Amino acid sequence: MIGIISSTIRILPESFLVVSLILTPLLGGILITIFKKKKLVEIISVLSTTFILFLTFFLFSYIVDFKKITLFNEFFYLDSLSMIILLLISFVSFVSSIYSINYMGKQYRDGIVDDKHLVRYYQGFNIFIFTMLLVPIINNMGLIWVAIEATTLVSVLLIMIYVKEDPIRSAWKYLIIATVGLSFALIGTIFFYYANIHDPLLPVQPEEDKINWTNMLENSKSMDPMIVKIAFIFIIIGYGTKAGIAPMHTWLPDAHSESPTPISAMLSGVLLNCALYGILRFHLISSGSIGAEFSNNLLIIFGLLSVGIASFSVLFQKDMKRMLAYSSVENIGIVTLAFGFGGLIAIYGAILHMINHAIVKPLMFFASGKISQKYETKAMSKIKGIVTTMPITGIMFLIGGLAIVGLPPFNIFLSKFMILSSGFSSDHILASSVLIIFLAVIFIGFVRNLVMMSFGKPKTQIKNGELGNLSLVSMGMLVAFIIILGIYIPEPLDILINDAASIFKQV
Amino acid sequence: MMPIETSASVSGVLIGIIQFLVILVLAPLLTGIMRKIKAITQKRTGSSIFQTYFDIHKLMRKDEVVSEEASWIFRFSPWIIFSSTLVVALFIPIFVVYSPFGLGGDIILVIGLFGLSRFFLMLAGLDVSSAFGGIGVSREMMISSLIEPALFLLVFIVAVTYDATNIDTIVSHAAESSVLISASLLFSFFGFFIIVMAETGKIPFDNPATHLELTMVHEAMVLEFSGKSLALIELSQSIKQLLLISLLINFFIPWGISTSFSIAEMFVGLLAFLLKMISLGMLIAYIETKVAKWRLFRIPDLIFLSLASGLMGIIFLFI
Amino acid sequence: MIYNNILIFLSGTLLIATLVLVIKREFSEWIQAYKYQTIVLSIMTGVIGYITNNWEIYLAAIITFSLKAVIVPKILIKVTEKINYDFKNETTPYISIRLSLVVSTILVALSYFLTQQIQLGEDVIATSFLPVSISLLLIGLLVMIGRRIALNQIVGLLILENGLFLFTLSLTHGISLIIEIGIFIDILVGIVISSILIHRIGYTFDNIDDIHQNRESIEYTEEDD
Repeated sequence: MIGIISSTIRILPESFLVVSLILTPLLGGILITIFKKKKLVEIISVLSTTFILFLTFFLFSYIVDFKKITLFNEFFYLDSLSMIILLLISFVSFVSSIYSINYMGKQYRDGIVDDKHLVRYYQGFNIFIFTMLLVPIINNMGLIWVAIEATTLVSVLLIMIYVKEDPIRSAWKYLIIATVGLSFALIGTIFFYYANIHDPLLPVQPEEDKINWTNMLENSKSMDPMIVKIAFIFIIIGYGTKAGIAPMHTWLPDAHSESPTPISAMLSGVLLNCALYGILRFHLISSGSIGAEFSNNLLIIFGLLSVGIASFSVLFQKDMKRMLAYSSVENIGIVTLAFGFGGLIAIYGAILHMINHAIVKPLMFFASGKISQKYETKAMSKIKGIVTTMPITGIMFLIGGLAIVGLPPFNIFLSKFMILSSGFSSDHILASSVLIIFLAVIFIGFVRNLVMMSFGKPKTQIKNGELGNLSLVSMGMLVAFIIILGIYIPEPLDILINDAASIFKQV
Repeated sequence: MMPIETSASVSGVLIGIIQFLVILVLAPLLTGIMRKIKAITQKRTGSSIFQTYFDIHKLMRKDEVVSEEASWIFRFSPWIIFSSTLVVALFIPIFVVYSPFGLGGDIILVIGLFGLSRFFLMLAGLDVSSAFGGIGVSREMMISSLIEPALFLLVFIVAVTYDATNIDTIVSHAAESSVLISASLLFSFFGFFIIVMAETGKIPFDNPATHLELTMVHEAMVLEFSGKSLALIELSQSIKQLLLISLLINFFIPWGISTSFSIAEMFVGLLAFLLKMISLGMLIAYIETKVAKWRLFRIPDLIFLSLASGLMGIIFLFI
Repeated sequence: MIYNNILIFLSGTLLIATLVLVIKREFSEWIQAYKYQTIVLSIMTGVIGYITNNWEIYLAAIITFSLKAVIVPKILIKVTEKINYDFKNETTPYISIRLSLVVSTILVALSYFLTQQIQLGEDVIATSFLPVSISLLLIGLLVMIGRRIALNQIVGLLILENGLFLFTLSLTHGISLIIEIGIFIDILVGIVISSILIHRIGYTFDNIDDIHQNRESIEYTEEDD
């Protein structure tokens, strides 16, 4: 079956696929600017994300068969790792665009946003997808930096949709911290480039293709180890700021909790992974140059720190979306840690965890968006009895919550289990034990809040009933994936993850 | 052409005296020029550039009024200030690398003599026990206590770079190297410029043109002086300004200064000096119109800028 | 080497311009100082272009000048015109101006010490400009953490950005033009966005301390029941 599909779509050349993948959201943005009607704008946005999703599936079948695509004189470079990020971006933006119609529609009816802001929101939404799509497919590390910086700027604009004190404060904080952090990432990138062009005997000669990732990986053996070490530290601080790795995560809870809910989902589910992708690319080069141990240790330290700080922060949160944001810090910490462990199983688990988190976290944000629209507050102490007031959303929220703390039979249990088992079986027993303690803490904090919100009697009189069906569709899709991936991993996905993990093993 | 080392004492003394006289004559002119430039940049006509001479001449003929409270310090200090400034004038080369008391002309001595004159000015300000004098003196003390360490730091950079503290030697070395040979001199120049602005009471620090009790520093101290004493103080203030500017010129931009006693070269040196002096005066006047007077408590910021510049210069000495 | 003297002279000038930037408290004064710093920076860029004989760097110098010394100050002055004076004048910084001056000099010394640890070889440009660029980065960060007012965090950010530009140029002698242009566009868009934000801060917040207020303490005080 899959074979037939993939052979029929093979008619389209991959260059067409990649180019139209990038152009689609841009075109969507332009069309939205032209037609300013609410209905049209919503349809265009959904169509563009659907089209992106299709294109990604076509590319997916290519990658599974050919492992990598290089295009236009190595300007674009896709391998299994980029494909995973691409998959996450297109999937999460698809569900977010469906959810947006419902959520922003409700905000529109309530008079929180007007026509102008709605159009601006959808423009920003499409451009945001565009900047994120650029990150995994470009080969030039300098341009990847430019793309990631662009994601910051666009997402700041999206947070600023609401002209209120808190969003402005968070947007400011996000803009400043992320920009400073990314400056460090640029320093690291430049240092890697310098290590690539630097030859002690010859004067420095800039060469354009030496900043390409493929070229850097090829020459990684001959790089100056000292410079590579400095460079990787800058990279992990820099992109780590954007990826929400502690202790550079301070912007994250504010930004994720103040932005419109579909954007929170995208920030949490994909953007963090895009920044992590930057770290991973350089992790590969650094491993090729000075061995994996140096970067692995750094990843483990930062990962563990993130999980630790996030787990204790979750205990003290009073705001629902902030709690979810801290949970993102925790999960990205787990992924980082698992990449640091470095075994094949650990990396497989890490990639799987990335995917799982990108499925579960949007669900949580979507549900919390519905809940806060219903209860008109984000304070958890004021939300009671979700399951009775909005049964379907409530149950989905409960499923998401139980999945995210890692209960079987949901998907995150599988990836967490893989990571922990590989940690214990390799020589990272201390880190794994500490991780278990932190996970227990986060379990307590999360489940307590979850139960308190889901059951009981609402304090104020709230009419029972769901808010909109479209949002339920998108949430339902996510729930289905949570349950399916908890039981079994489809074969193409399994191949893709294995390929991606083997990239880490080759160097 | 006579090399300086072997120059006969007669011509040396002669030229030294000429140089000294040039300072005396030029000093009020510089003040006048700076006032004129400032007036022009503010789109005023302004008084003639020779106005300072007329002022001093007029003050010389006027009677003096001395407060009953004043002691001998008040009466003597104008003379002490004037004479110590004149002594400094003997040490500082203008258009030729030679000064009458060249051997004793140590830069640290110069700073000391300026300190002496300032000390007596402060004493005189306190002596008459007027409220304004007290205000002026306390402000002056705050500023000068901050200036001194910065100044020493900057002078230290110059001394280390040219390997001397004797002014003649520094200037002749500077004239030989004749470019800004190291970045530390640049920092020193910048810091020195700020200090010259502070010492001569230019606008971010002080505004001698007004008598506003909130802002005035120097004027508050000399408020009680009149007649001859005031003339002396004004004159020595002008001379001090010229001396500081010529130090700045000859330490950092000595190009064109004559290194021998040939008439032609000295003439060129004098012309170059005048040119540099006027352009520096224009620069200072430009800055004065460009910036506003800073609040008194922000003035230390500026002096710290000069101090930081000195520190930076010292860093650059060692790399 | 005659180049060497010129390069060191230029780095000294840039550091002085940076020191002048650090002592400014008021936004309009600050913009002026930033202009001077950027002009020095673009001259330095031109000199690097002359030494390496690379036309792309000349182009970068022209872009730097026109973007950072002309357009960015214009934008910033335009948007801050109507903002309350309290938002523009730094009266009580976290780190006093005098202390930050002294710390800046220490940072300069530190960056010279640090760059000596890297083997740069015979590269004149890198040996003379790299430490300056790193000190610009550090001073930018110092200004960012030392100032209370949101506007002045942009000051720090722009100093940092200038340092980043010089760093890139001096270490690699110019990465490809497309990346440079990408970075420039990012900076421009970043400035535009932060101007919009500043504008909104100007009319949304009543006083400057509000932006530092911890949000939890405002919102959830009344909920203990």
